Amino acid sequence: MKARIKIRRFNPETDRKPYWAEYRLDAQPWDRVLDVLVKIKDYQDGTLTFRRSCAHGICGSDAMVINGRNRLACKVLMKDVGARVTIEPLRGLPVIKDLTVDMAPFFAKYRSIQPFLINDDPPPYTERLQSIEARARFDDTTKCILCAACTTSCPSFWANDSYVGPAAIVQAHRFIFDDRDHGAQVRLAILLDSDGVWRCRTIYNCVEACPREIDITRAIGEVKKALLLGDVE
Amino acid sequence: MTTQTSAMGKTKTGGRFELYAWFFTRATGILFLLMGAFNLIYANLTGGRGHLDVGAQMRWAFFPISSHVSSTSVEVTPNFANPFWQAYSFLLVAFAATHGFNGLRVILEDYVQHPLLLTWLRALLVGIWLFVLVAAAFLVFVLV
Ligand code: FES
Repeated sequence: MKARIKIRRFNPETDRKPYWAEYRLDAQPWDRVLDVLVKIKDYQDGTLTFRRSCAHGICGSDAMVINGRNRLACKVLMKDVGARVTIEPLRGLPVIKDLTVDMAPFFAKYRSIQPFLINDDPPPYTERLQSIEARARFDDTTKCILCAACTTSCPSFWANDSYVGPAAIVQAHRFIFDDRDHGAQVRLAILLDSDGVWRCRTIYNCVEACPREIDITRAIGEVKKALLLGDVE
Repeated sequence: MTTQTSAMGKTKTGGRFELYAWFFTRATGILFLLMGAFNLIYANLTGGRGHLDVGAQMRWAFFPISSHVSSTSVEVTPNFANPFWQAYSFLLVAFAATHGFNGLRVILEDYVQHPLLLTWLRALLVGIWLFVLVAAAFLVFVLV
């Protein structure tokens, strides 16, 4: 197929504001958008900048806005987006260059919810065992790859970047509902803040954006409920 | 367990206020629809059936004071001069107003970036909200 790719480009060292660059090339229907970006960079314009690492939808490096939706470039096929594609950097995070955004504010939010096991019990000789049911309780939120697609699709986050954002809440959920972890109250106290879960207006953009199909709004709802009842069931 | 400080880079404010506001919004959202439905059923049972147009039905549902619904054939004054219905009507309006103004507060806090402007707009909002409550109390308890 003859593809026409429009990319929102910006180089802070030379450009005063972002502009659209257009590239035409031959693409296969089974090419991923990432393959097309690589082709452009290799054969047409080496200055095009984007992030990618695994190219298999697990590292979370290449979330970007493809035809207006937050997607991983390595998970979208050309046949699904059509021959005319527009690609923009994620919204709500500062652009470093072209499709590369500064993830530092995003990871600061992630760190704020203390995303590590909190358990002062002496570790057992083997591992900390957990029942299958207890593991299933938070299975959905373990799938997060921290690509920022959800947080940067959230109008509450666009409007107010002090909001902790869906990704951080998903990560908090992953520990709050893990019965091996004893830090639930600490994390709940953090999310009780006015910039915590209450800025979620159940808009569901995050659910649509998540490449891992996590039921994010449900997870946020469960955290709200835990805050309301003061209890993690 | 020791409480550790939030790394969101600001001091925490408001405590549990946002939690209560959130719960209040959910609870009153359901409650005032139920209360409205109850008013509506009551009005129709006490003789309104067949005599009320849509506008009157709505006034009956959400703010049934005598000056609102005197044009209908339902006996208003004797029914509504008792403290139960007065309290009921006032609560209905108070819930609706608080629910709505809290929603406006949330929108302001999302979209008004300038702190001083936000403070002024919040104060304005509280003022209008109080005025609505006082006006409702006057209509329900004094004027009926
Ligand atoms: S490159 Fe790793 S998720 Fe797409």
